[in-house]
Amino acid sequence: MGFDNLCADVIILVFDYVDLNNIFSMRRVCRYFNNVATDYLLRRRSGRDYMNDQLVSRLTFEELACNKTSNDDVSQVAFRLASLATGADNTKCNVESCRKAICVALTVYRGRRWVLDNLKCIADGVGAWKADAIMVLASWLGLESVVRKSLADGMQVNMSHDRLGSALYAAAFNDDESLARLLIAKGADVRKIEGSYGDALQLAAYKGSEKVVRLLLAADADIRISSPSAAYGLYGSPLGAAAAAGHETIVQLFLQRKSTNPNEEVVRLLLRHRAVQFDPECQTSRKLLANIAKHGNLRIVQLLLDSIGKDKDGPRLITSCL
Amino acid sequence: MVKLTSSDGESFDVEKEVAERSVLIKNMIEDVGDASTEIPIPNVTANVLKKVLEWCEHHKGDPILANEDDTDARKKSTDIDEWDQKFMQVDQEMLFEIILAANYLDIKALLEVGCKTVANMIKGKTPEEIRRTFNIQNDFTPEEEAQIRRENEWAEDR
Repeated sequence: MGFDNLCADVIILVFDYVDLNNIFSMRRVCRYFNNVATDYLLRRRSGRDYMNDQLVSRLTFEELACNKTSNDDVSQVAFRLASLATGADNTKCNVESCRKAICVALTVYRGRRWVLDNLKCIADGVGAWKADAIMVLASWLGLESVVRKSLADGMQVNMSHDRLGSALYAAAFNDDESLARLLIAKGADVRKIEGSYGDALQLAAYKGSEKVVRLLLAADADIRISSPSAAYGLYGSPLGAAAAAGHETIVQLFLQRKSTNPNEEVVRLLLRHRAVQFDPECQTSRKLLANIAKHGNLRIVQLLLDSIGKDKDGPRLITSCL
Repeated sequence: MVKLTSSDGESFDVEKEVAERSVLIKNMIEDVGDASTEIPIPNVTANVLKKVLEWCEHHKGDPILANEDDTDARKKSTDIDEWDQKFMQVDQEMLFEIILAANYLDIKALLEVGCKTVANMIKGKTPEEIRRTFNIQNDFTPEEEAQIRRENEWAEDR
């Protein structure tokens, strides 16, 4: 007789006396405890503010998996996708992959809070999904053949589905370069404001989807990267998202843009995550400093100067950058 | 007095008030209507039953915990009174047997003490330490482990 011989109902009583971190630790002990703890999180939904997208997607997945109606609906959707897909895409359509894609899409597009609030009815209507939902879901699954076919059949490239978002948003999440290229060529609006991440670029930046970030930057010279005045999406701006997630290459890509002018919070994030090492000898750093100084935000200039040490001659450094 | 028989055939003569700490036994006595009938406890062995009855004896005067559904009242305290702490100083085998018996016999307060004891053994431990404490085999594949770690990530460092 041991802990792992107890039935789930009793283990759940134990969980009531520990905090969320302990429950996360329990998930990693063994499969049985992981199942019980995951079920616990689903039922109790305490600590929901501390769950990341991946955990919320996982919980949604478990919820859908044990719901017969939604299972049948998802099977139907998988079947429709499989009948549209050609070549290698065909093998990517099964019930499990579809369910997973739906859960990821819901979480990343509608946001964690919405998903957890609507867990019970989240899959309502999946069975009645029309061609628009099918195209977007195909994007989440990376089924380019289906997206091509849908577009050829007259589907709008910029169309956003209420639950799944747009095709470009999905491509940004998956760093699906080929699909993003196709969508942009067909006229996808790279500046479209949508989803909990605010737009495709902020999502790509957070996710570390470097190839799609490059494509989006190339598609629109004036695309929003940082917006000191108007924050939007989960991280305020694409630069904020890349900094928060610590994607150094993407941060560098953003900082090299002429218009980039991060706000104080973002600069703090950058320095904290060491996503940017402020180096007076480096071109990017000099450009950034010059940009910020030009916009007159002295506190940020001070932040950057502090990060390189007190012995540097700040005023002269700024003058030399300008 | 009530006569209880353990799964391995040992009989225990217990005061009715003590035996009735168990909602299961209380209901059985009510159903039978005759307290002198022997009541079989088929899921609990003598050594565990003896221990459980010791707890019931000590707590016989306590108010019965209402069986209210307080599922949302998380953040419960894990304080355990001194006598109960001493009572729970048993090997793990016995600890989990007591918990199972309390669950089966429907003795809410004892079940709570047992769960709190286990909760205190988990608190602050890493997954590996929990495995060692309870002698549990890690049956994850490396991929599964990595997946759960990613799901926990952000939540863990808060």
